[in-house]
Amino acid sequence: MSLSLKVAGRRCNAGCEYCYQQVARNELPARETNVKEILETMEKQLETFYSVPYLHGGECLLIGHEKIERILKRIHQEFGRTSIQTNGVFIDDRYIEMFKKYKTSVGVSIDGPPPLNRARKVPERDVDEFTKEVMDKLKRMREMGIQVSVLSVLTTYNGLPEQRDTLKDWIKWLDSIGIVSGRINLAVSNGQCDDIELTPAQAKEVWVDLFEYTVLENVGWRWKPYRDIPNNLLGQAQGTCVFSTCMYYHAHTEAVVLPDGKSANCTKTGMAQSETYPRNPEIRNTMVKDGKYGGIRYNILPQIPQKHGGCKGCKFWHNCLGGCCASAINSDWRNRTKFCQAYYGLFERAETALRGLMPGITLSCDSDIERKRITASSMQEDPFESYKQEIKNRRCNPVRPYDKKTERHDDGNIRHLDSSEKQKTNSGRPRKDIEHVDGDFRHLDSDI
Amino acid sequence: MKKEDLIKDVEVQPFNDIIYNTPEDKEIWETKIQSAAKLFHNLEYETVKQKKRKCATIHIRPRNYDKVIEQIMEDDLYWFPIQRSKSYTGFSHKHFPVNEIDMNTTVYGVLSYDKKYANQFKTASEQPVDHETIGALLGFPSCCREFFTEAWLNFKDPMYQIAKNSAKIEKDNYLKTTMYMEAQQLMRYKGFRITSHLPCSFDCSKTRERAKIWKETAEEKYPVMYKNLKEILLLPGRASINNGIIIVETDHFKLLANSLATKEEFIIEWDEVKIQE
Repeated sequence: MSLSLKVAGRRCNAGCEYCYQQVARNELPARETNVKEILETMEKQLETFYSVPYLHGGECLLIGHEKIERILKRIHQEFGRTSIQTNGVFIDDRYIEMFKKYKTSVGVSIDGPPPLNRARKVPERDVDEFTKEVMDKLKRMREMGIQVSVLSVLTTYNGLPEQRDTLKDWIKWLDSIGIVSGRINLAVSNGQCDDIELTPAQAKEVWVDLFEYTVLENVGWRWKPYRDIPNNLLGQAQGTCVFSTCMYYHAHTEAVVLPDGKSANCTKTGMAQSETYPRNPEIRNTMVKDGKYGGIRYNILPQIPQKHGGCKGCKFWHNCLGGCCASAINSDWRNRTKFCQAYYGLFERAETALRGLMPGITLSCDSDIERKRITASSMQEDPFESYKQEIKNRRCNPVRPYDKKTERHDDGNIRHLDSSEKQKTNSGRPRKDIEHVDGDFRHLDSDI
Repeated sequence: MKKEDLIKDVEVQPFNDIIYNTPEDKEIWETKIQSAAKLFHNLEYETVKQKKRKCATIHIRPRNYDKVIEQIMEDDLYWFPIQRSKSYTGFSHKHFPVNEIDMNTTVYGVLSYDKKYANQFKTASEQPVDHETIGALLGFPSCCREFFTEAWLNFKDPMYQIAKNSAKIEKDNYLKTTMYMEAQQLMRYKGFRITSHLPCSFDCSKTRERAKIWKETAEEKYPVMYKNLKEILLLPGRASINNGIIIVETDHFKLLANSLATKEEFIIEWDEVKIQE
């Protein structure tokens, strides 16, 4: 959960084809930036929503150095660090100094190197030219020791198989300059970018491929949502709100402060109707049992057959919860996400990987596990319980699930401790000479 | 909308809510909405007390039964219990019967100024329910009673069926309807209504005629609430039914409640609301 300061409102120097604020930007009057009001509302929100606020837009650097510094300074006083999301075009030496001073984590929106960044349009600028400039700025900020992450959006400009090598090389390049985390989302069209939105099948292909590349093939990277998927299956906390319950009009996971100081919710959820729903703090923990709107989506979706837009019978229901409301079929939050195929593909791939490595593992998609709440992260059972039992029972191979039927067996050259032959060598002598205890592990070369 | 358009075995929990479209809309409309939402409940009681209707239905909760019973006795009225139900907040299309009373129950019953009418209502409520007699005792027009008896068998929230009977434009899963304030029941999920019955159409002439007693009572006893209610009921809007939830959209707020679980989205639209002079 985070507190988003939309300091520039919907104003932006760019006109990205997929931007979810496009419709509202054209239809609703812009709100003027009032730093005093923003800070006052921020203080108030922090009383119930204490997390490092991040500056967001439109393009937040449009409001200028002085206003940005006033806001960063106040947040830095409170938290000792700050955070901002920008398309990077306006980043200059003065901003870089500011980011260093206020320990700013800078998220830069860029969809790849030339020519993959073509959905990001900046009027009167050549897209490849400013893309190279932004990449230079990424490198510069890293050289200055600034923490940088990247937010990319997948479209037909950068998400198709023929663009994959370029995209992967770029992710590798980011790693080489010290950027190992960020987010690679799917573009979601609510009419504004139907022609460049990936189909569900294309989305599945690219997501599964990037999961394998960023999670399985390269250790230490933290790209979302891919990194979230194994965490989700293991019942761990995640960094992606799309896998938790969302109150849609009261999307409590993202508290928003508008440029005039009014408070609102995740602006993605209002995009289909061009609305900015007001924040209603008391709704935060309200579920449908209280007679309020709350979690009604999570009451109906598991009852509605998949062919009618629901999630009935889906193995990954608790993991995905129908996906982000803002990407729902027909832009209607009463349906599941239109990218169900991609989400399912990710969970399925991660499940295969986890079970392949650790066959005895318990995952949050297992049908018989208990939960405190509806979400995967409320899984009661320890995913590694069977391995802990293995260790407790002083079995030597924690990778192999305990099989009570096995009394005696050899695996190639490995003789197991539950074998009746365990105390003897081939010549019939006791094996004490090769067994020892290492913590809770009993090794075959122990002399105990 | 046909019976086959419904998804079977979907239980949507009772709920209702108002979502303001912008922070500014909340500032302007919240007070009006809170005020108007109380009016119908008051009128339900008052029209019987003034003998303008034979019967009304009232839920009494254990939490405040003493005060409600005292009021009924003071007003020389009768209240007969009919059904104990589990409590719910929000809007529900049905009761949730229970045997025992506790603080989480409510008792549905009939209110009347004449014991005879109350008894008739109670008898008619026994299985199989006699909707025709109940509707007559509640003062519903005959055309609407007939419509309800048939429609309710398959559609517990027959808004699309009502709209169909006053439709100006009809195409796939979409109706544009004529709308009269007196017959406007698409806002009733939050208590916004000026008559108590489901009309046979949104321009039903008998409903408009029948509404006079309600409007007179409202103007006489609760003028401010009524002014606020009129402002709400006169808003143009669009209602969308899908997957068990209805969303009624106006320019200033959305009203949400549980409704029919349909396989596809069904839409009702009205671009003006007329008032019967």
